[in-house]
Amino acid sequence: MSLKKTFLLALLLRLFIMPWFYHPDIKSQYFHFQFLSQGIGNIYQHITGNKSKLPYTDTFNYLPLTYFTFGSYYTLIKPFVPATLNSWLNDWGPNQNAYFDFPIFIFILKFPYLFFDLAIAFLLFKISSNRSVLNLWLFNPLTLYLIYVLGNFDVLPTALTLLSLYFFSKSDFNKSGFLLGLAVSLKMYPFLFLPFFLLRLFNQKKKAALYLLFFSLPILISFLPFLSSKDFIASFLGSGLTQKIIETKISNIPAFPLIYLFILFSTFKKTLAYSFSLVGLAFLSLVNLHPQWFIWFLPFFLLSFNSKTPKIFLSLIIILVLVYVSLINDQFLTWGHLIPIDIGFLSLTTPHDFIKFRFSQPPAILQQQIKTITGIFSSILLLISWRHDQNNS
Amino acid sequence: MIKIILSQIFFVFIILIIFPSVLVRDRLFFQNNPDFQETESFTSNKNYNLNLSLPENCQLSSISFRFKNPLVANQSQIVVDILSRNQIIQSTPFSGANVGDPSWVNLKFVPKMNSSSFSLNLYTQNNDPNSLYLYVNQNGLPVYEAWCRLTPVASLNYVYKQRLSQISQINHLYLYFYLGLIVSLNYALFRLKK
Repeated sequence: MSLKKTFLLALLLRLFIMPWFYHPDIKSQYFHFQFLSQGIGNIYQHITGNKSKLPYTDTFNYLPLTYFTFGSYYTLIKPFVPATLNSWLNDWGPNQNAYFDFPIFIFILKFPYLFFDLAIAFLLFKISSNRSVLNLWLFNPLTLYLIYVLGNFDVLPTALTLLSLYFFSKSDFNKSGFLLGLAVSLKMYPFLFLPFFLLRLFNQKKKAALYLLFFSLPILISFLPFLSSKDFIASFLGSGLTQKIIETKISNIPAFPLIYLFILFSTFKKTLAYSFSLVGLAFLSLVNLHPQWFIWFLPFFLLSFNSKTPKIFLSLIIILVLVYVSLINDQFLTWGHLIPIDIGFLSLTTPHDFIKFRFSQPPAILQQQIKTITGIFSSILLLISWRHDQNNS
Repeated sequence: MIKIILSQIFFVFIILIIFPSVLVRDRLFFQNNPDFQETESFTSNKNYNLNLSLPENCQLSSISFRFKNPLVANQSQIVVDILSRNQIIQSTPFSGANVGDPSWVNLKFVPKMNSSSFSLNLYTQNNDPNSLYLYVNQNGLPVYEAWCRLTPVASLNYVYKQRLSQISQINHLYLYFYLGLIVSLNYALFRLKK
């Protein structure tokens, strides 16, 4: 199949999925992003100051650049979208899911993700020169689920992180640093990758310093105007990622930071994608995460696998991840995704409740077991890929 | 190319028609101001009688009432009787311990009651006027919702009509834009094949 046909088919598949699956996160995020179209610059202050008047009172827990990026998108499309979209974004009452244009709303809001998703596919192909990696990204159900069902904007920082890795592999370090900084300005997690880039420039002090400078630029520019805003600081500190990272402890010592440091220093001669995959594995196994976070590491997992990777393991991991997610006690992570098709899906019993009431077993135990098995399978896969690379070299 | 077009039609048919009609068989057919926030004390001297008429090809499957049991302190028995032709066909007693502060209490039935009209009797053994409340509407009737289970064919018919209604009321400009995108992509694929 030609590359053009592959991309056309992938695009077609995405167009079919986009309007029919929903997660409330996209609505709560755009509820906040819409305020840019009303000329509000400091979203943090606006929410604190108007909490009693707002129909949705949760704080804005994302970074300023995220607000300006997606707020600009909403401002641009606002004159062209159905007027009911604005009503829906501000409707948090019992009839909020009963709009006839509901599938259109989520199609419009997810539309930018298409570009970042296809950009990731293109970059994966450029980096790996491997069609199976491209196909795995474009046609695996986990990718589609993470981007178009959960509908979270994490696909943008993921695309930027991958682009940063691409430029790093081309020795264009300044661009790489800038793009990684841009990704961090949108979501903090790519900060985890910075030490890996810097360690590979360990013997080139000037380049490492420049990398750090270019990395800091977008962060400083986007953070500086908000540093004096106590509402921003409160929202930034309350985001919870740092807390989650140190949650799992072994003998009272946070496990993830220890393993992270071990990966950082033990894999600095390996590819960046391989190191990031290991960080991803440790993260997925030791941090109590939200399903959308899988996308942060997925491109690197795919890059670390090769033609010798047993596809059965890969398929099993994808299935296990999807089963894990379906057991989370959240209606909107199972049947609730389908409410643009039929609101009646909300009345169905979730897998979490089914297991809890039918088998009198807490689903969290099953989830922990799935997580452990996924961790074991993923480690085996990475080991096979690594040994294959060693033999080749 | 035919395969690709057929698979698209199949996907749309499965996801928009078959999937909901097979999985979502229970449909809400009666709703009595579910958002009304008025409560009244629910004691043994109050007996509520309600009448229900079911749509065709639909069997009563569940009823929800909204109660408030502050601090879940009241453990009195609450009973919902379902009557058909003045005969009790099902009596569902439950404890106040199953009532939240506030919460909907959903009573599920095996949908086998082959009648199209029912009466509901709602009463309690509670004697304390300050510890158990029932949400009522502006007419003083209990706020409640009732679901019925459609037969497979009726469910398919229901979903089909629902889809037609949705298509007729959706923003047509965007619908055509969306369909145009899909047709263009198919055309591009067709040109590639040639």
